[in-house]
Amino acid sequence: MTKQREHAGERMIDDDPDQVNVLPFVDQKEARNQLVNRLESDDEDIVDIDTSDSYDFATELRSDFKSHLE
Amino acid sequence: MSGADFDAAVDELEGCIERCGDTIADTLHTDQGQTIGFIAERNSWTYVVHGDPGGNKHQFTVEFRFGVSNNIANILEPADVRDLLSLDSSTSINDQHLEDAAIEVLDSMRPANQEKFRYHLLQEICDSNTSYNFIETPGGGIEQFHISGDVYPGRSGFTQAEFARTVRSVISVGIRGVQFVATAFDFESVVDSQLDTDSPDLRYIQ
Repeated sequence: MTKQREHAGERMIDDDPDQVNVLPFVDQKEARNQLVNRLESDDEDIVDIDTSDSYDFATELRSDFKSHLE
Repeated sequence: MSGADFDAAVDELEGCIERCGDTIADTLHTDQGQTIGFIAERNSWTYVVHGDPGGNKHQFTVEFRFGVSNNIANILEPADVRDLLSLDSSTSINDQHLEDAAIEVLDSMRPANQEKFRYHLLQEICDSNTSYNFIETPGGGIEQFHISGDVYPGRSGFTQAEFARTVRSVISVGIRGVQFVATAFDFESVVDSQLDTDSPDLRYIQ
């Protein structure tokens, strides 16, 4: 499944879980609860760590560019 | 570079990994049994070193792979999986169900959050010394990200220091991405504090 989803033209990889890093959870049940809480608040921004204007700027710039093309 | 030279380069890389103090967890082979690389471990992190005897025989890749969906699959409970996949309550949950449910979680994120997730992850893993690659879900979510750097053990001038520097860069950038994922899903309080091993520029998990 993973092999089919990788970007076309790029090297194929093995879909071997031993080669994939995962988070070292110390409490999987609590992690599951955090995930559920996060999903239930999906109407909120998933990322609130960066308050810089760069994202808004990039979005605005892209919007302007698209308007220019239309 | 001949086949023997490729094998010699693989041997050299094995020595490089060991001299870094890292552990070789497994060896990668072709279907014909030729060794083409290694799965190595540094602290709790895994990286892969591999080449392609049928391609550019000089070039080997050091790669750090992180599975966003793997983390979600690891913490979902059977009832969650049945809900997400609309399975009957009597269905026995297997690994494929877990993978499908995790992808369903990622695909169910609203587009604006998917876009922000990608944007900020890119900010963390874009680095002049390494390359990145995404594996996407059918809905456009990020299922895995890979950080990689190339080394050329068959060429003159290749050194242990070059290998060590490449591995350090790849893992360091990879951990920055991991930290971002942990933060984005509010996992900071439930991951091992050793997450911040040997990277001086981590930003989120203290």
